[in-house]
Amino acid sequence: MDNHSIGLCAEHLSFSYVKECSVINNISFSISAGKITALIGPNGCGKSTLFSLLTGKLKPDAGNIILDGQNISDIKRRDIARRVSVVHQQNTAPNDITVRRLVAMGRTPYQTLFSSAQNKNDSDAVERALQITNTEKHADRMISTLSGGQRQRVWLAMALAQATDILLLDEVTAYLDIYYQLSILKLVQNLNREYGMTIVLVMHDVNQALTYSDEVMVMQKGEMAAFGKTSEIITPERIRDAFRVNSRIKSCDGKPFCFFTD
Amino acid sequence: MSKEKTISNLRVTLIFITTVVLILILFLTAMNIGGLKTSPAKLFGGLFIRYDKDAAVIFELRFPRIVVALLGGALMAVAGVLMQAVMKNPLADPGIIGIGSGAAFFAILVTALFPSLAVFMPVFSFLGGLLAFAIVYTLAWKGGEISAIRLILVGIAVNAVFTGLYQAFDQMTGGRNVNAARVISANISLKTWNDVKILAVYALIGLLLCILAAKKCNLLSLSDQTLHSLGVRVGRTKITVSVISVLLASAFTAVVGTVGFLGLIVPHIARLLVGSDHKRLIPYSVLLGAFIFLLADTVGRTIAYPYEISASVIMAVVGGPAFIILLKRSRRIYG
Repeated sequence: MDNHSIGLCAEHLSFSYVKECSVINNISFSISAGKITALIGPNGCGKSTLFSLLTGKLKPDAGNIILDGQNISDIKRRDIARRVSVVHQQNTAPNDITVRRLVAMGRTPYQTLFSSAQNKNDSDAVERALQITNTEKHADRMISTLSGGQRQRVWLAMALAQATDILLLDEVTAYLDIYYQLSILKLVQNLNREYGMTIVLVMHDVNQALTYSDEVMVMQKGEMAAFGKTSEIITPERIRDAFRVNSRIKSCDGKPFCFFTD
Repeated sequence: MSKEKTISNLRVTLIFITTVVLILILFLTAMNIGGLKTSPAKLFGGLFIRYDKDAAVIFELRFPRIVVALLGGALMAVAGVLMQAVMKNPLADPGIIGIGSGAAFFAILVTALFPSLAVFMPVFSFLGGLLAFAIVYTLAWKGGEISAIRLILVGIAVNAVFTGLYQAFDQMTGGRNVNAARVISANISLKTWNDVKILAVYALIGLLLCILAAKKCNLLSLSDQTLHSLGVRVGRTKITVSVISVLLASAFTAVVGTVGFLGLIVPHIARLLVGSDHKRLIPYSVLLGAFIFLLADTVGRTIAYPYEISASVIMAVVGGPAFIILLKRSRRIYG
C-alpha cells in the first residue's frame, strides 16, 4: 500500500466551528486514486464541513490533509488548483459571460498577471473541456440563457479546464431534475472511466451512490461510520444507523437498489 | 467564432467610437461656452499658430476645467467599477459609501493643520479614503460576504460622519479654509493647469494599474469559494483592487471634491452598453465617465448663465433619479 505518496488523504482530522462542539472528530482516510468515492450521511453529519476541509476552504483544528504526500497547508494555492478542482452546488457568474470565457477561467492557476493572453495549452484545455462535457454547442452563448442542468455542465467544464487528476463535487446534482441529475452523474462516471480522474462526490441519494460510486464513506455525527467498497458498505443495517430509516437492498437488472420501507 | 459574438464586438466598437465622437463635440462646445466666444478655427489658430488674446484666455481659464472634468470623470467612473467588483455589488459607489468624504476630511484636516504639506494633499486624501473603506468594508462584512443592504447603510453612515466632520471643521474655521470650501462645493470653475498636472499624474498611474486590475475584476465576478478552488488568493486580490479604487477616488476628491453618483451611474450605463467583461468595461467607463462629468459641468455652466451650478450639484439632481431608474431596470441583470 502506497497511499501516502499519491492522491488525497486525511490524517486525524478534527474541526469545530465553536469550541467544545466538534463537527469533525478525528477522521482519517485515504481516497483511492482512480476511483469514484461517494461521501454520504444524514443532514448535519459534517460531510459539507469535511468537504470544505478537503478543498482547503476551512482549516482543520487538528490533523492534516495530505495531497501527493505533502501537507496541503505547505502547498501554494495555485499548485493545489493544478491538481485538485472543485465544483460547488451553487455558483455565481455574470449573466452575460459566454460559456467559453467562463470555462477559460478554469485556466487561472496556469496564468500569471502578465501572461493573461491565452496560450495554446490553455485554449486546447478549454476546447477539450467543452467537448468532454458536451457544452461546445453552447460555447458562445451567454450563461444566463442556459438551464440549470446545462449550467452545471459548464461549471464541470471549468473544473476540467483546470486539468487536474482529482475532482471534488459538492452535491452538484441538487436542484436539478432527474434527467440532468443522471446526465451529470454519467458524465462524472465517464470522467473517471475514460480519463482516470479520481472523484469525490458529496451525495444525498443512497441509490445514486450505489449506482455511481466505487467506494463510499458514511459520515455520522462528525465521525466516519464506514468507508469501503460501496456494495459492501451500503447495507440495511448501516442505512438504519446513519439515516434512521428501514430499507431493503434488492437487485434489479443485476444492479443493487435500496428501497425504503418506512 | 459565432455570428452572435461578432455582432456584439462590432456593437461594442461602434459604442466606443460614438462616445469618443461625443466627447470631441462636447469638448468643442464646452470650450466655446461663456462670456468669450470664438470660432473653433480661430481658437485653433490662436493656440497653435499665432498668439490670440481670446484663445489665450480660453486656454488658461477654460481648458484646465475641461481637462479636469474629463480626467476626473474618468477616474471616478473607474473607481466605481473597481469598488463594485470588489464588493460584488453594483451599488458600491466610492462617492456614496463615504470613501470620497473620508478622503476629503483627511485632506482638509491635514492641509489646515500643516499648510506646508498642501502639496501632499492627494496622499492624505488617499489615507482618508483607505480609512473610510476599511471601516465600511469591516462593518458591512457579515457571514463571509458583503451584504448589499449593510453596505449601503454602513456607507451612508460613514459618509454622513465624514461629511459632518469636514463641514464642522469648515464652520469652526469660519469658512475661511480654502481647501475645505473647495472640496465641499466641488466646484471646478477655478481649476488651473497645476490641478490638471496633479490629476493627470494620478490618472496615469491609476489607469495603468487598471489594465492589470481588469483580469482580477473579472475573476472577482465569480464566488469566493470558486476563486479559492481556482487557486486565487481572494483576500489579496480584493485588497489590491480596492486600494487602486480608493487611490483613484481619493485623487479625484483631492482635486475636484466630493461628488456622488458619478462612480455609480457611469459604470451602470457602461455595463448596459458594453457588458460586464472588465477588459471592455474599464476602458469604456474611462470614456463615459469623462463624457458624463464634462457634460454635467457644461450643463451647470450653461443652465443659469451667468451663474454657475457646480457639476456635483448637477450630478446629484440628475444622478438620484437616474439611479432609481437604473435600479429598477437592473433587476433583470442582477437578480
